[in-house]
Amino acid sequence: MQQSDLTPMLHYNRGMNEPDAEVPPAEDTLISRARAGDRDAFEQIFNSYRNQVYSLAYRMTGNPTDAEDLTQEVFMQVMRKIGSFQGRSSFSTWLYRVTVNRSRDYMRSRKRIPELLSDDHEAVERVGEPVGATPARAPESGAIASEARRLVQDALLELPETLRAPLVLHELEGLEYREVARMLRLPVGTVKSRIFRGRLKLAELLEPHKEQWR
Amino acid sequence: MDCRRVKKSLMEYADGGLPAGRRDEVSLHLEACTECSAMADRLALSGAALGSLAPVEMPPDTSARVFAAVTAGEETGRAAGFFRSPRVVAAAGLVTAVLVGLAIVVGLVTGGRDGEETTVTKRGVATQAVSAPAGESALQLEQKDALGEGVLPFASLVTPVARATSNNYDEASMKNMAESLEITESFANRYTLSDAINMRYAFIEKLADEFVAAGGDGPMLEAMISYVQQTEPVLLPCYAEKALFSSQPVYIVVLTGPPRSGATSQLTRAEFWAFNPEKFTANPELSLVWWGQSQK
Repeated sequence: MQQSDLTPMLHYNRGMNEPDAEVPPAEDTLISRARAGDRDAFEQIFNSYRNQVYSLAYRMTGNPTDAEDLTQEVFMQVMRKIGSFQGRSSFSTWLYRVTVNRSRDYMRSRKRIPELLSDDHEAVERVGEPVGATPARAPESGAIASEARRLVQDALLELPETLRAPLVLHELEGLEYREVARMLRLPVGTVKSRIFRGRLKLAELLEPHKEQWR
Repeated sequence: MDCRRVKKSLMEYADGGLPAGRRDEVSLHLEACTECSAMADRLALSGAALGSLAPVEMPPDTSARVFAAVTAGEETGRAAGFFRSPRVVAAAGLVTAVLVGLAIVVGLVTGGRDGEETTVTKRGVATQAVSAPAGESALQLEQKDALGEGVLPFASLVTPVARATSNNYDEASMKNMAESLEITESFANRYTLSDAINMRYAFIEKLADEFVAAGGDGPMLEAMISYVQQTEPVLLPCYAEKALFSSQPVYIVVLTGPPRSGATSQLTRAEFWAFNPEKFTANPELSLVWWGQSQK
């Protein structure tokens, strides 16, 4: 499905051969420098990957404030643990994995703690606005498109986490099945099956509003 | 074409990704099969709905704020990321004020300043919080650290162990190892079911890191643990070994849990799983070469 608007470095990490992709800076050099405490290198890493982390966190939580909190936590963890990054998987994969795990922990914590402030629906609408029109996602203007996106995001949150994570990673973040499998430590067949079930469940939840996407 | 085969292609069909020949075959089936046809409609609906979502980017002002908070948090050795959440900080304001007030009273009495720390939230608001070790058990603090929240050194926990050995196990020696592995005893004495609930992800990561350091494949090990946890999610991993079993390569994973029956919630039961890593990716079930459990 649709590829998110991710950074050139991420495209590079996934081995995608896009003719117009920029040649990224040497990632291993950046990581080595960040590991040695180089703040500029860490900032470059942050700038390259912040949207990847934020986007996934937002899709997993449905809330921009939570996404912001999570992005902050993920990069703090990266800062602490970059020394133990072995390079056996791509940095991007590692980062996705940290984000998924932190999102899972975060949502679990949130379930135990009552909502402290009101919902951020207004802010969600702002985040949900397109940041760049692509041919496949020509933005529809106005409240209807915005409401439709809100419905989808709400439905995503109703999916159990075991279905939501693979669905978001594959369908929205554009990762291949085998990449999702590696990230979630699941067999590829299980990932495919969960995405299939997730799609059916999502449709079930959206059925009363299906005219929005006709 | 039967329903089973059609279902395998249905998502691609709904997304318009099937080659023409195959698409026609599926279409033909859908005309005659109401169940598959309804499923295709649902997949098309969810595909269209997901496709309507716009890409998400972090707003520039948020980006600057988050980066500042990340680096500030690192400099001050801040812990407990959850408490940096602005909503939690706001809601905790009253509690904090009471605690600060209490600390001031105690400080006036004792003259001490221990336990105070100044933190910077990501909103750039300096907040004075009181870390109150007296309010939390050592285990709770350790749990926070195990989750990467940096209150106490991870070394203060009984942590999982991974190693690579030249052992070539057979049935008898594997049973012997399962009965005599000391770390299962330590976990049984130290941890309970609630520890397993709270710390399992951190322990999986820790064990995988140790396994990589020992020369094993960390992601593969985590995949094996994930496979085991599909049927029983709350198990705390304590040991991994890269070895041989009847001369074939195996990764041995040991996880602890509470007994199947009985009153205790201590993790007195240990499960031993030995997988062939070369076969695991293709078929986890067929890669299992040995399984056993022990009860302390």
